[in-house]
This record gives sequence, C-alpha cells and structure tokens, in this order.
Amino acid sequence: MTIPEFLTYIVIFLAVYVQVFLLFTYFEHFKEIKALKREPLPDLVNPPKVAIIVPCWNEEKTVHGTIASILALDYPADRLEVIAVDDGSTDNTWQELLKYENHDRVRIFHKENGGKHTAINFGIDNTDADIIGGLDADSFVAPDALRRMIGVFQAHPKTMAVTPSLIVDEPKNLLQFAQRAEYNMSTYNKKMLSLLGAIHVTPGPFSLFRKETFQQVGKFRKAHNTEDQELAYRMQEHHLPIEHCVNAYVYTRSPNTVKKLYVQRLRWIYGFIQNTIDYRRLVFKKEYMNFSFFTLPSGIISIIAVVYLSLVFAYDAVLFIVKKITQYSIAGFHHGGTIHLHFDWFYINTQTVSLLTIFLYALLIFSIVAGTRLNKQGNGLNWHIIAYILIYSVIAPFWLLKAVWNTIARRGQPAWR
Amino acid sequence: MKGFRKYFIVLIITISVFIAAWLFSVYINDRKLAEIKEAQNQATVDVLSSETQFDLLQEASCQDTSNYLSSEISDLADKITYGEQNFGDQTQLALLKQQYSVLEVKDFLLTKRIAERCKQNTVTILYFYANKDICQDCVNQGYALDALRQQYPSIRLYSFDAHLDSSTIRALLSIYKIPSTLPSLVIDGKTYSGFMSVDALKKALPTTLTNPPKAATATTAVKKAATSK
Repeated sequence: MTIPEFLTYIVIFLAVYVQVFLLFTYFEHFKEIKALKREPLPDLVNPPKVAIIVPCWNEEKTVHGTIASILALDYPADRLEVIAVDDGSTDNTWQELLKYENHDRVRIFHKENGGKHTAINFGIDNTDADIIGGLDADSFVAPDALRRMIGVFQAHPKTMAVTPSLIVDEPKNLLQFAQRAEYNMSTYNKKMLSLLGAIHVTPGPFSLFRKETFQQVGKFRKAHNTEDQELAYRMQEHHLPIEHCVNAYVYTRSPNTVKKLYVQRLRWIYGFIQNTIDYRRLVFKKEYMNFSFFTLPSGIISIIAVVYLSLVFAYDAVLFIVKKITQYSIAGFHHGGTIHLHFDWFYINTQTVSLLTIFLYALLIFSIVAGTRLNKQGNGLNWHIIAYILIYSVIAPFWLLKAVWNTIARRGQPAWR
Repeated sequence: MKGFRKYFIVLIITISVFIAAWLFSVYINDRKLAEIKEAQNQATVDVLSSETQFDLLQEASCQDTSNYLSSEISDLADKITYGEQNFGDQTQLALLKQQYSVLEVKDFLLTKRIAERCKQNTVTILYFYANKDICQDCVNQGYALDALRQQYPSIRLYSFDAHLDSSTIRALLSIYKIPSTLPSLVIDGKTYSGFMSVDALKKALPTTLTNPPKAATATTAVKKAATSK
C-alpha cells in the first residue's frame, strides 16, 4: 500500500466514523425524533417578553417584509417587540424605518456603521426582554416558530439558546435547489448535534437567547465575520446549553449565483477554521465532551477530507489529461484504447475504497432525506439531492481550499458579501 | 448514552464496515479472477482446436483452416491488465498472465504455419514491454500500436511482458535477440528496439499490407468478366 492510498483510507475512515456517529445518534433517539413530527403547538404559561432585533444595513427593500413577518408571529402582542437598528445605511433604510416611529411594538434606532454584531449588541443594550433574538433582513419566520422555540425554553429551564431550522426560501435555479438539499441536511446535522449537546453555531436568522446568556458570557464579538459561531463556542466553553427546535422554521434567501455562494461559504469556512483555532483549548477536553470530541474534530475532519480528496482528484485529473494529450500526440485521432460499448460487470470498480465511498454517499443521502422530512419538505427523495451532490462536489473544494489557503497564508478575512 | 462508550461502539461499527467492505471486495475480485480463468480455459480450448484442425486438414484446402483465438482473447488481455491495476493480490494474476503468454505464443506459431502453407500475407507483430512504472516509452508504444491496429485490423499483435517470470518468454527473448532496451518489437521476423512512432511502424510493415494491389486486381477481374461475356 502506497502512502497516498494509506492516507485515503485514513481520511475515509474518519469520514465514515463521523457519519456513523450521527446515524447512531439518530437511531438512539429515534422515538424522540419521530415524535417531533407530530409535536403540537405548546401552550405557553406566562410567556416571556421577547425582543427581536433586526440589524439593517442598506435593507430599504426588504426591511418591511422582515418586520412584518415578526409582527405576524403567533405570540402575545404585548410580550413581543421589534428593535430595528439602522447600522449606518447609505440608502433609504432609515427613512423606511421612520415609518415605524410611532408603532407601539417597533422601536427604531440609528447608529454609525460598525458591523452587524455591533447593531445587535446595540439592540441588546436597549431592551429589557427575557428572550432576545435577531433576524436578518433576508429571512422570514414561520408564524408558529417563536411559540415553538419559547416552548423549548420553558420545557428546558437550563437551555440558554434555541436555534431554528433554516429552509431555503423559494429556490428558483439549480444552485438554490442544491442549497435547499444542503440546508435540509443541516437540519439533520444540527438536530443530532443538539441531542449531543454540541451545537457550534447559533445562526443569525432567529436564534434566540436568554438575556442571562449575555450577562454570563458577554455579547457578540467581532470574530472573523462569523460572530454567531463565536458566541456558540463561547457558550459551550461556559457550559451554556444550546437546543435546536426542529419544528421552528425560518425561510432564508440563498445566494443565486456561484460567485455569491462562494463568497458566503468562504466566509463561513474561514470563520470556522479561525474560531476553532481561537478556541483550540476546547478540543479534546473531557469537560466539554461531545463539543470537544465530536463537533470540532468532525468539522476539521470534513475540511481535511474534502481538501485531501479534491487534491487527489485534481492530481488524477491532471494525469488523465496528460495521458490523453500524449495519446493524441502519438496516435492522432486513431488513439485506440478499448471502448466497452456493452455492459460488463467485470469493470465495475469494486475496490474497498470505492465500496466505502459508496457507503459514505449512502449515509450522506440518508442525512439529506432525514433532514428533508424533519423540515416537512416532502419525503426527501428528490432530484435536489443529485443537484447537491453534483454541484457541491465540483465547487465546494474551491472555497474549502481557499479558506485553508487564507489560513495558511494568513490572509485577511473574507468579505461579508 | 453517556461518556465515551458511544465513541467506542461507533468505532467498532466503523471498523466492521471497513472489514465488510474489504471482504466483499476480496470476494468480488475472486469472482473476477474466476471469470478470467474461465475465459483463459476457453481460449486454451480454442487454440488446441485450431491446432488439431490444422493437423487434420494438412492435405485439405486452406480455406477450411482457421486459427482465430476465441473472440474473448482481447477481452481477456484487457481484463488481466485491469486486474493488474485494481486487484490487491497479484500472485494469481501473474500465473494467469504466464498462461496467457503461452497461449499467445501457440497462436503465433500456428499463424505462422498456416501463413507459410497457405501462402497468406499475415503480418504478425511481437511486442515486448515492461511495467509502466519503469518504462514510459512502453505506454507510448501501446498507444502507437493501438492506432496501427485500428488502421490495419488484420495485423496479429502479440504483447509480452518481458520481465514476466516465464521460460516461454525467455525463449522468445533469446530467439529474437531482444535487447534490454524496451519497448522492443518484432515485425515480420525483424527486431526493432526503442519507441517506434505510428509512421515508423507503418514503414516497417510489408508493402503488401500498406499498399495492397486491390484496385489493379479488381480492375483485372472486371475486365476478365467482361471479356468472358
């Protein structure tokens, strides 16, 4: 066995281990997960006061929709307020917000531009609500989402943050349908991490926090443009539980071009790497258990696996191209080679690595199907899975490689958009 | 499940998955080897049949004599090559490759005998190569020979791994004075050493193959037919 072959086995072994771990968790909590699908809307006793902060930076076109979706939430009106913070917009966002100047449930603020996390912190400083959350201007909340998430807080008094399930809103092109499959898979992954007590990100769109969270660990910090991830790391460090509420749906607009997706994912992956480096003291520490022994290592393994396998693939592709060029230069168009027009099972690749790769893809497809069902997006078996596998197999290595390269080369953090 | 118990169980499951995949792969590869053996046996029977047929029909018309190896023979070569690149255990494959080489030599000798007796212009090429890891020119020679065979399908090409541990191949190397420089070719009895381009190969072929007097023959035949009417 050559060194590259040995490394390939190691990478595949770790990748299979991660997926089997998630699958094991799924079946370990199967009854609980199955019951979630029929979970009734919770009756809230003494509903806590909730503040949803809407950080706005040049959101003149979407801010009304965002605020309207919050005001339409199924929640006692006197216990819910919207705090819209204009973060130094250069368009008419502030003029649009002024329309809510006299609204009894919406408070508006204007501040100099300082980044999204400063706008949210500004909102946190200006509310006395028990539960505080944020909602990006590109996302919309299902009417029952807040009630369900508050239900989780009330059922689990020690829970300090609750995250929703994100669904791609109205996908229009192939790329967005692929992202819908990916987001559905994320719901599966996040629920499993939630069951493991090991969530590593509280997404910007509608993650809710008890106000004590900020008192205990501080507010949002500037953190490689992934402040929502850094806060989750900090909460894990302080043993503040984070739960995922599967039935709370938030619809978010997804990038509609490869370039926009690339920029977004580069920011996410770079942020993950940097935050993990910043919090490397949490890795393999028994006191942080699953977050320390599973979440962080599995994220690192995923990046290493994709980077390594894509490099191997690129190397093979270069060899193939060189071979074809050599063939044409020697033999012209009579390059020969045996072309098997008939099917012969003999040539099906049945090497151990290939079989394990098939197994890995099967687990991946299972996670998408299970996530799709959790998101109530159908039975899960649809062409979005194929779109996801084909598109992401090609483009994901690029942002992963770039994020790794930026880390190695100590480049600056990627732009927001 | 608390603590590290779950990590251990998942480790056991993952190792089991790996072992299952490995066992399944070994099982399938064994099946593939069996298929190669079966095809090889069929080819052996075909060669023996051709030889026997030739001996039986010594005095009969050349038209009745055929020495075509079974149609699976080129497929067999492809499968052995595939096996070399993809199967873990090469021991059995090396044996199959030796048998295949002997089979090729038998077919080559039979072809020569038939060609001599029946005055056929059968062109044979013996191609001696080495593993691609030590002989890149051999890979390139393979491309050139593939191209040549596509242009002249009647050529009978026999490939031999010069480094294969086989007395038959050692005998061939000695008879045709094959140098250590590979690739080497024997085209119609003449030995060539080093890489040969498609053009060089064409030049080495007998003119009866590269410039067949088909047009003249056809014209003469037509004229004769017209005259007889």
